[in-house]
Amino acid sequence: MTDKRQQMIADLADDLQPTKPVGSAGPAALWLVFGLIFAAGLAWMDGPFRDNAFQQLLLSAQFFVESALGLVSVALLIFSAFELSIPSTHSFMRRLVMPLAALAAWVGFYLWGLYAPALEPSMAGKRHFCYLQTLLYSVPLLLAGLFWARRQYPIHGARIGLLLGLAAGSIPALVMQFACVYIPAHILQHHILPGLSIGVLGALAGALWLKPKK
Amino acid sequence: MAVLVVRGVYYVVGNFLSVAGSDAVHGLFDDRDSMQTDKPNTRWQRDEARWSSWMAASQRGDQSAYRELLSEIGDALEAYLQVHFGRLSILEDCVQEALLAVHNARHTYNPKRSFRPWLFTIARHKTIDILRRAEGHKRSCDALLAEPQDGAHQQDLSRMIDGAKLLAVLSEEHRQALALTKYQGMTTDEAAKHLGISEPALKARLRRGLKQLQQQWEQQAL
Repeated sequence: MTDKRQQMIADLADDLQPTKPVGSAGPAALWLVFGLIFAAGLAWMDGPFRDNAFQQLLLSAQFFVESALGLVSVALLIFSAFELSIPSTHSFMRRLVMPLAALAAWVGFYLWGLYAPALEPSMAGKRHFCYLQTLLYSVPLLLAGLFWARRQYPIHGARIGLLLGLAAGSIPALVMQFACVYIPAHILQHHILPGLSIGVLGALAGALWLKPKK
Repeated sequence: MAVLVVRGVYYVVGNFLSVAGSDAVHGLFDDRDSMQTDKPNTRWQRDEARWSSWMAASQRGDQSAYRELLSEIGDALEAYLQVHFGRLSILEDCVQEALLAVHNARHTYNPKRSFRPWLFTIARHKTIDILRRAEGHKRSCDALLAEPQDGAHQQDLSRMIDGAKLLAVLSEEHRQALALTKYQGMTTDEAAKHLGISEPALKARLRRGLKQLQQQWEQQAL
């Protein structure tokens, strides 16, 4: 060991402060819960949810599965994003492919719904500017995720940003499942598409901003 | 079908919402890092147990445990980098920067998980980062000529990179670019002239070579 290294170790040890291990599952769960409350709260303040939207979960198995899959994919996306922010020998397949596959399955349900919708399509619950609401509600969620990730040791900035963006965009899209009209073509164009575009924004932000502290 | 879905969602979401116990969630994403403690290598397991407990103690503010930890892992990192890069001129810089990165990232270490994957991921990332940033140390002709020319001290390029396991995976042009700039200490301008190519072309080779190194190294770690 060189003298310089010895001195450095002594300085770091003398400077040592207690620190609490942060973990990823807890913060991910908190982000998910508060994200849902935030998006649902803002949507509610703008106008009531679609009549009988929650009862429809019990009346239609397909609607229930669609909604559940949406929730599961958001959970997988955010958990993977927070896990990737912590150094480890991550399995690329598990960290990226599983959440993206769940997201693809969720979107797949709406594509199937173009031929066989879960509910009778109607204009009940129509919201003006639902496209804009989905985009705007996503941004604070994305920023919160980026701020958290930046305080860890994010090596794969673009991948983390992509997952954060997709999770942040999917939460308002999921809320719109109950707050806005149920027409699969409308959902794909005005809820899912803006949600997915936040993924692109997140990837760019992650590539530029998520770097380990020097 | 609905019952199965409800059970599945309950299992996944219920575990996510359980801040205290997340073992089941981690079980869904069983990584190699949690499996490496089962490796039948007693020295590995002893190191793992010792480093992990010292790190946990350091997180509580134990300075003497931290000093022991940094000393040991510093030596381990030096040996690790020597195996992969041979006699790299900036090896000591890489080790010190990695130790500093460990210090800054210590709050991210989870004592319930393996320590080695966490440590070596940081070390790999830091090393590649330093290699990207390192400027060639300009050495004058006089200094080169002033060195004794006997075999023991001669700055033989092939000896310097001998044993650099990781460089073997690179193509000849990438290996040459890295060897001239990072081992022999040439600037990019000097190395480009030596190879008879333009400086932008050399920089492109360095970039691609480092990217390939990083990918190979991460693959080996999995």
